[in-house]
Amino acid sequence: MSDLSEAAHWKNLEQEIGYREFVAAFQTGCLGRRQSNGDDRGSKAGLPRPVLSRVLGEYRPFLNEVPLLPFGFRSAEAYVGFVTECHRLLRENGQPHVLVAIRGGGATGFSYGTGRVFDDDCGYELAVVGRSLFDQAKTLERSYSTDQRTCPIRERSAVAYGLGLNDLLTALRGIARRDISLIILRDLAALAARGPFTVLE
Amino acid sequence: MICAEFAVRSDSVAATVDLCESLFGAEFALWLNDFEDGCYAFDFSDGDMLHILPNYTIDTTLPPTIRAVWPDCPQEASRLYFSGTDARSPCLSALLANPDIFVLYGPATIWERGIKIFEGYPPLPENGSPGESG
Repeated sequence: MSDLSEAAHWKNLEQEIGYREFVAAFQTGCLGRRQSNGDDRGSKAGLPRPVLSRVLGEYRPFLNEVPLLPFGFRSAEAYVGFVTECHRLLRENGQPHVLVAIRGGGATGFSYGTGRVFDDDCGYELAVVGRSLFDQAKTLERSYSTDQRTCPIRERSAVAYGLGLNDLLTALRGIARRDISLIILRDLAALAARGPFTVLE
Repeated sequence: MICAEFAVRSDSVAATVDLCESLFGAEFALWLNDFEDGCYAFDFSDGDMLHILPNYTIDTTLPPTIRAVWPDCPQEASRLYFSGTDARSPCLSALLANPDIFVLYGPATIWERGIKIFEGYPPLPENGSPGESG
């Protein structure tokens, strides 16, 4: 990717995930609780370090302690393969400017609902953030959802076919050897509101 | 690919799994995830697949809230997702033959290479052709 096209990509991504609005809301205290340890290195579990550092490098206080490698991958190579395939298939499906994160037990190491440790029986929950994809998904859904997120979308479901995401879910299940489901969120604020996550990149 | 969603009138997901295991002679595998509090799945050898999920979802807000995924069905109900390649599938036929238990939730859809070629209620066209949907 050339410098120009990369810059365009980040600009589009920033718009798609509502990044500026997110930062503004965070700065005014509308999102989460900013912590300070005196040297201006704030901490907010769940914020996407790689994207934040790349899209808006000057906003260092967002840097956090969430591990970059989600739970359940046997090696860094396996993780890289998963991420690469994920983004390749999203690009092929016409969604290059989305942010993808693993949330739930894959990000935290345990189940939010039960406290169970994340193990081989646990699936990955992907969160895909992008306004265009979200708007498209809302036209297909019959399930409960909010104005911020869809319901979980499963492999071989009508919504997965309708959004062209079935191949992605199948491929990722094959790579991870785990059940994969995903939700689509309108913007970064909606993702941050739902707890810890690790951005896939 | 044919997709059909059913609301299952039972007391719990465990009861739905028991029912389907006896109906299809299949042993469902449990997948755990935080989105849906677990999902039971069975992959039939002929390409059919069933997913059984609870009809509630937990919003990880503070405080957490529990909601029905299909708002017009009780939270205790189960959601059953069928996908398969043949409208004459024994699995799908068995589900449609028991409407007192398996209530079709919305229209079934048929997809070909990512394009929806049919959306409607039974009888389903055997080859997915809208002209045969009746």
